[in-house]
Amino acid sequence: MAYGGSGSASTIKQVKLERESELRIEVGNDAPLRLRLLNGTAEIFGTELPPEIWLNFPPRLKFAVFTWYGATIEMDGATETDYTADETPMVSYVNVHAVLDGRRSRAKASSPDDSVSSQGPRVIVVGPTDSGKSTLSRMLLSWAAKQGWKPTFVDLDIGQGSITIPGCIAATPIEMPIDPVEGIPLEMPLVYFYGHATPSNNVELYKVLVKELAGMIERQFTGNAESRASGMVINTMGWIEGVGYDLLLHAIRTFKANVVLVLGQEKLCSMLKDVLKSEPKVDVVKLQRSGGVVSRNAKVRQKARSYRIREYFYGLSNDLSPHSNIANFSDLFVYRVGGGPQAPRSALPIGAEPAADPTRVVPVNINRDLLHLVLAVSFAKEPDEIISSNVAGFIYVTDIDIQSSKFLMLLEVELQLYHVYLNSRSGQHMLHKTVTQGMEHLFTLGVDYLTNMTRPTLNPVSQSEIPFSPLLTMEMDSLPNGNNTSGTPISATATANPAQPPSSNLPQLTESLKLEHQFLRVPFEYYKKTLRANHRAVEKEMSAVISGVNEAAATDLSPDDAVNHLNSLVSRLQGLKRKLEEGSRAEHLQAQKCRVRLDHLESADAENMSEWNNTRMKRILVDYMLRMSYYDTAVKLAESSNLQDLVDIDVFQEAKKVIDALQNKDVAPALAWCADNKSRLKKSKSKLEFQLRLQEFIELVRAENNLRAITYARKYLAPWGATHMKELQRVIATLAFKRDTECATYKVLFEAKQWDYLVDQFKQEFCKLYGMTLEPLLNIYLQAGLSALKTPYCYEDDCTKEDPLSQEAFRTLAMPLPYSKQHHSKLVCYITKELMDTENPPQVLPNGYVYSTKALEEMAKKNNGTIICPRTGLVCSYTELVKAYIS
Amino acid sequence: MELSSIKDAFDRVAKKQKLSSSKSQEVVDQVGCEIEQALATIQSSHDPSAPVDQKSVLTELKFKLNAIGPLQQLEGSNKELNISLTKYQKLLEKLLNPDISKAYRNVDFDTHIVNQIIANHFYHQGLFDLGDSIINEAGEPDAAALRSQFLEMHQIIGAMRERNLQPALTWVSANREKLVQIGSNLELKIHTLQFVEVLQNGTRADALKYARTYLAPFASLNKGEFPKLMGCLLYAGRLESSPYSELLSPIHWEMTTEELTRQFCTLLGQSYENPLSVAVAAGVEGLPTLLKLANVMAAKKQEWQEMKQLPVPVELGKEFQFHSIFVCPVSRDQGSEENPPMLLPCLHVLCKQSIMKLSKNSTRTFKCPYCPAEATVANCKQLYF
Repeated sequence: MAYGGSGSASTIKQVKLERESELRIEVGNDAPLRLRLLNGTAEIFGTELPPEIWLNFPPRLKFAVFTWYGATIEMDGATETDYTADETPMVSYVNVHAVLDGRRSRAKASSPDDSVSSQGPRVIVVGPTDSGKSTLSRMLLSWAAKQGWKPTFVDLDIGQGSITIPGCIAATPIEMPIDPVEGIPLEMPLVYFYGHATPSNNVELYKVLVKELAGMIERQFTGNAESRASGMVINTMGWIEGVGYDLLLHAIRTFKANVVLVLGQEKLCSMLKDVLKSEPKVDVVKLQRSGGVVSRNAKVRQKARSYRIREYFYGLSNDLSPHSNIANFSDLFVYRVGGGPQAPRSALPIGAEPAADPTRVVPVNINRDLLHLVLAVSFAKEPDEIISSNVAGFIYVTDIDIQSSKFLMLLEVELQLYHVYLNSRSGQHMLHKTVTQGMEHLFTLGVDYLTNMTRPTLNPVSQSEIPFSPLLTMEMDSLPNGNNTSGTPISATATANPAQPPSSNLPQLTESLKLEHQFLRVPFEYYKKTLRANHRAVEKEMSAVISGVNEAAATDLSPDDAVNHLNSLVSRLQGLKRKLEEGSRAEHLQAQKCRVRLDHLESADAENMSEWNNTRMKRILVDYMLRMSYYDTAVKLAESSNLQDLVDIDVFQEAKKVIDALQNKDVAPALAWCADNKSRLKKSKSKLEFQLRLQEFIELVRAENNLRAITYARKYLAPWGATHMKELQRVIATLAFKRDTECATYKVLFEAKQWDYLVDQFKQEFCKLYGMTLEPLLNIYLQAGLSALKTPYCYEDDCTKEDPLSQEAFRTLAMPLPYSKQHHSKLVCYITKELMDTENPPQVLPNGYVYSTKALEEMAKKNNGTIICPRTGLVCSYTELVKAYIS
Repeated sequence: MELSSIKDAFDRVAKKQKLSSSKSQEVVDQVGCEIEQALATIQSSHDPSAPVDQKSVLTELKFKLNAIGPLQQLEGSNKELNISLTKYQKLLEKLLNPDISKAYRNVDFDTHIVNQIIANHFYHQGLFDLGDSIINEAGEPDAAALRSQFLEMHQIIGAMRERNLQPALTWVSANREKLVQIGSNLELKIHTLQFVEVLQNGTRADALKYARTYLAPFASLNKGEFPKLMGCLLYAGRLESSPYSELLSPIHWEMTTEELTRQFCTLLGQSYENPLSVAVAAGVEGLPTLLKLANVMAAKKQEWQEMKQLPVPVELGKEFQFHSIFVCPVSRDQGSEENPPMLLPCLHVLCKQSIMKLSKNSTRTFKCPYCPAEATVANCKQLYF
């Protein structure tokens, strides 16, 4: 029967097909396949292939290339399998098409007033699982579209999702042959949400939805003669026994099918013929199953459903961008269909059974049970309309914040989680959003679709001023969302603190104050240091006095000696008292400084924002200059603006002494500083003191003072041996090598730049100790600002001078920084430099140049209704302008 | 932002500090008092009438001091102070962002460029001492290139603040051609101010002479303004009581000063607003978002130091919008020369690539994603912002 072909080819390969033969292909799991028609004619499921144009088929796709008169096919890429078959049922399939085509022509020739004879064929395709029902439907639709008809495709198979995501029944007009790669375009389907992959979960609901869909299509046919003459093609599920069989009959009757195509099942065909014998004008036709239909197990089906849902959100080749939105609980109503409380048997009449009403609509309390579910957005305006209403689109719930009563919804799906949802018994959920202007348009849109297939062109002038969302994606205020092709959102960002556009300056101000940790922390650390020093002094003196008393009591002193001793203790205490008073004043001063800074932060408000920003700029500059050791300029700037209490000059003066000494190769002040801060440095595991000691040792070796070096090492380096032995050994070894050694390992230790390294180390420890950032504040803010401002437009020649990145110096700094990401259009009028928004919308000149309404109105007023384009010189009338809707 | 809770915590710290300080003084006083008492007792032992054992006095003093426990008292009050200090510090770390350098990419800014930017920042603001100071301390002699121009600008502005227009007139005269090129009418405005001054402080004849000499060349271009100025001649010396008293308003000087500053900066190729202030202000607005991003990136162990584009948008205020940026609502791509915005017949706007995709590479009509209208590629028109 089938012959030829081979699997796993990985180079370009040609296949010559004889007439009426078929090349059957299963694309590999990991890579796409490219295919084109070299010569002859060929089709894929009824859609003709364009000659010599490469088509890209995504992984896992299974399809067949059929030729009526012979063709040569070329493939590039790996296939799971591909082979040629010369025995196919295509002749009988195309004969069915010919019969249907004849019926359509007769229907079209009939008077539109005669609703019976003007009805085209109503075809339903039935058969067991994996019998090729979807493929046959597709062929019949494509062939009809190629003849110029516009048949309606009805998909009742909720497990597959040919039109939209699985879990739905849907209908859509087919006006062009179905694309072999992308399938049925999602332009204007009519979708009812069932919420499960099999009707057995809620048979009654399934029936109700089928009836609703059929009713809606009936209204469409009534109003559209062309659609009515074209008829419909209905695809069904593969469940053909028991309840499934009953549902098939229900569908046939509800849709008034007059052509029943039975694929590959003798028994089903026979049963249907018997049952439908009494129905007038219903033809039951048996068709052969194609040998190329691929059998799929439950696991494969499940995975296909996941991919289909992902495709809905991300596109077949990841070319769509799902939105993320935050919604308040109070803005949304969530309902479940089916379920609800059941009456106890004792409350029912004798013999009655308790049963949940399968079509009951029950409100759902929003809690974390909704997490990771797919919800449908209904067109219903009232809860009782939910079952009878179609849906606008779908959302996926990625997080629920009970505390702040917010939904985080991403229009994407975790593939595995969908299985859980589909297999759950919790029923289906619908999301009913409070009607907004956008929703009204969507609803109107739906009505247009349902009642008038001609889709009249809207008059742009009468169209709403506010563009509404695309049909299948709800769009609210956008949440930051990265380009995650991996499908994992940065939900942690959103969860921690959703970034909402500030409605006033207040939230922004709050956020900027949170950046001022260093501003409050540094004087506090200085304050603590003073407190600690004073406390240690008091303790030391008091201990000495107590010891003095104890000593006096323990020894025999002459009366005069005793008097002198006690007098000296009294003097010491009086001295301590004076020190305490001085220390107390110093503490008070520093507490005052801390408070001044708290007051300064508190003083920031809307009225003095400009002055406050200016002061902050100066603070940041002083910080930079102090870190760079430009002390004179820092002092001048602080004095000229009365910033002394708001900057940390005294703290850096302390550091300056140490740094100056280090630059003069003197470690004594640095060691003293380490001693002062011993406990805190130890807590943070600092090794600064060790490094200072090493350097001093090196200097002794350099001076060839080996005896002193050895003594020094025993006294000061040995205690560090437990934690830094390797480094210690390396340095001690310099005793064996002189300062002019050529051995690279040890030569480096004698280099002058070791002192620069020590300066850097000290600066870091110093900043850490005082709670300062390691980098200058200026660099941090500048980096953030330049990244936020950086766009490709900054580098154009006519970049406005007000943009900092129009200057070479700033461009150089921004070179290694990332570009900003833009989620929304922001338009600036070329004339006025003001933003164009809903109050000042963009208007387009006939030449395509866009300016703001205000600027153009003013120009027209000045020039008697004439507009002169400032960039091209074009002259036109104000009435020739059109408004652009840019979201 | 809960500054009040931070202030409360600090008040508790200050209170504990005062208590601790008082306690120290008290302890010192107590100990001093006891020692002095013992001292007095010993000294009185020299009186033959009251012999006292010196040893027992010293021993008793020792016991008394132990009973007072000065070191323990000091330690106790210090411990309480430390508790409140720790609480305050923890509160700071909780309410404020303790390390804003997390958002810092490991990119070292060129110190010379930064110093140059700062010097220009000072010159731009007229703080020439400060600019000179940082140039000297940092050793950046080349950074003073713009000093003389900004000095001239600030001299002109200073003179205008004292109602002296001569330097401004000299400058606009010297740059007349450039100013005309950018469509400026600054020269006329300055002459108008001077004319009003002459009218107010001189004679009608002087004013008329000034008008003929300096205002006449502008008459043909400003037909609306000119009759008003000529009408002023009737009120020489008493303009404040005339229908034209509005011309005496100080607002005209302020507006003209600002406009001169703008034009001066434009001819210099500089911005009117200080660019360093703008960049830092943008950083203040953007940094909170970047800090959150840094936290998320750290949690995900992603290397964000290498990315070419920020993964999240940083929303800046209107004052930072310098360019038109078009983002396609379908693909979310930014518009560019290769992918420009296109206007559909229904007046919605998509990028070219989205249109090509929707129309299957121009092979068919497509439906607008926003409304039921259909369009072909030929119907779409490119937009220029």
